[in-house]
Amino acid sequence: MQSSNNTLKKYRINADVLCLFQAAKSIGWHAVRESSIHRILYLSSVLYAFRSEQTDSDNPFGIYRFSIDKTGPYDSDISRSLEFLYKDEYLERPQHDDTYVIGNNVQPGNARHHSADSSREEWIQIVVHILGIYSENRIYDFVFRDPEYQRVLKTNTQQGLDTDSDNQTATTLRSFKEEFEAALPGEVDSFSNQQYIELYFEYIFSKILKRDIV
Amino acid sequence: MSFPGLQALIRANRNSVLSLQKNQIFNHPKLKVLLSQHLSPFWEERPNKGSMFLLVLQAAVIDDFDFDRVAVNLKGTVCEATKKHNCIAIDASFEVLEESTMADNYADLAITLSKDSHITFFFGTHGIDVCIDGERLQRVNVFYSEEDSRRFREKYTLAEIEDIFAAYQHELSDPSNYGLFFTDLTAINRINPNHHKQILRNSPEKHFRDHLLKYLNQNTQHTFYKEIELQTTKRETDLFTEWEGRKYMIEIKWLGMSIKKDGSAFTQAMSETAARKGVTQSLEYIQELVEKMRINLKCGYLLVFDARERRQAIDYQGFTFIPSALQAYYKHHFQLLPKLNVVNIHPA
Repeated sequence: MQSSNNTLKKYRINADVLCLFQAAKSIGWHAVRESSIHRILYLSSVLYAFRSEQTDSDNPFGIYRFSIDKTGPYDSDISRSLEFLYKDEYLERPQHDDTYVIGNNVQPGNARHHSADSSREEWIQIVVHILGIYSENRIYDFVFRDPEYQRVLKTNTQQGLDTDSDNQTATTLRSFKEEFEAALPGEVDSFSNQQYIELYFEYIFSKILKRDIV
Repeated sequence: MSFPGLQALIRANRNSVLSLQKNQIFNHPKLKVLLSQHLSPFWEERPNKGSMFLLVLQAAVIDDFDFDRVAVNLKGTVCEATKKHNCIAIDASFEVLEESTMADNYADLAITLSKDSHITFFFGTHGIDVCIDGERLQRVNVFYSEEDSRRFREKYTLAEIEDIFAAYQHELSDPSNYGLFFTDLTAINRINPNHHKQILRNSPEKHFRDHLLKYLNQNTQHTFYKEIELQTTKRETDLFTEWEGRKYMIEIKWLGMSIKKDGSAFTQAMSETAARKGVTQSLEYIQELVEKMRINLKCGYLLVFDARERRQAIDYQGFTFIPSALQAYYKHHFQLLPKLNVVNIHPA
């Protein structure tokens, strides 16, 4: 049973990575750095709780266990997935460094074949498109300012990043939403949580531009 | 995280907030990517922003954007078209469908041509105005303006590292800055009433580090952070940043004399030997980062704050003390920055 769960987990991670690349390619972003892949999947995980307002048991991104290393959020399963996908030519490294592109073995249906849940594919695409507005080079700045990431940094411990429903990022987003509801009562009822996430990223980007550091 | 001033900002931009969020076409992620990653950079690089023009496309083609072709054609055929005409119709790949010269009443023109499910982008003197389906968007962003973007672009990057620290040296000449690093005269008199010189505060490297960190984060385009936040080796005098996927490190050393933590005595003077040791220590750490931690480090810098009473050039002995095992790192991944002179005169 555990073995089949592990296998399913690996397939899901492989599918997530390929979805990430497909979504990036759709906006002209062909090459993605390994650190960015970890960061994008981390942001997908930590933001999902707010977007869906689901309970822990329903968090489809609970298969990841992120910790912080010198490159930022890191999950060894993602690195293993990249090794596998590279070995089987689903991904390539044209410059022989830490940057990957889609390989020859990827057909449009490959990712969907492994993904049992189109909603996670759709969500990864949304996150990639939001980040694509600001470019890959800004992902580091967004992750550095991520509330859950900052929370763990300040504990100065080896504890992992929390992506459950009450993680610090989701809590912050709820507060952000409440600010809008308080500022424009009754006028923002139709705003979706996804829209609030987009507004939040724009808000954080404005802080980056204005050098309002954490 | 709190959001001071956010409600006031939202209320001040109420119309933009509501109209932007309800505009399904504008909220299409591909349109936002087009604006931020292609059209805005194209507008920024034009030397003469007084040479204005309109791009027109059908809203229905957004889903079909071929960004590879967009990038090529924007800098190719579209750019060529703007030299002759001021109104250019394009498709999902930014192939030019039609180009013409129209009366330059751009405000009305942009709205008129955007009717019936079209989008116009007016490249004006202050930025890009967007009209969708007959309506001009007051702003394309709620929380920042083109002016904010311009100010950001004017800030230093690591490509100008010498300029960064030349400017920082200038900052350090201000008493409100250099005064922060020295302990008060009462503490000095307690140890030795006859010592009529400035003494650095205890652990001066942390004060230099924190002051530099704040300066770099405010005056460059990069986000720097303290090494200790990485919870690993407890190296407390390093700053890191990342730029285009590569890590950069700044190691800080200081020369001079400081006060002990309990205020009972002065520490031993840090001479230029500390600076030479700093070179070796920096290289050893760079080696560790690259070889053991597999960090994609581009360059490590050594920065020395010289707070000695009598400052003179540091003799690095031709760097002959660097072990052979570190020579490759010295050559390819290390830079010694010009030392910073800290004014050793009491501000009063």
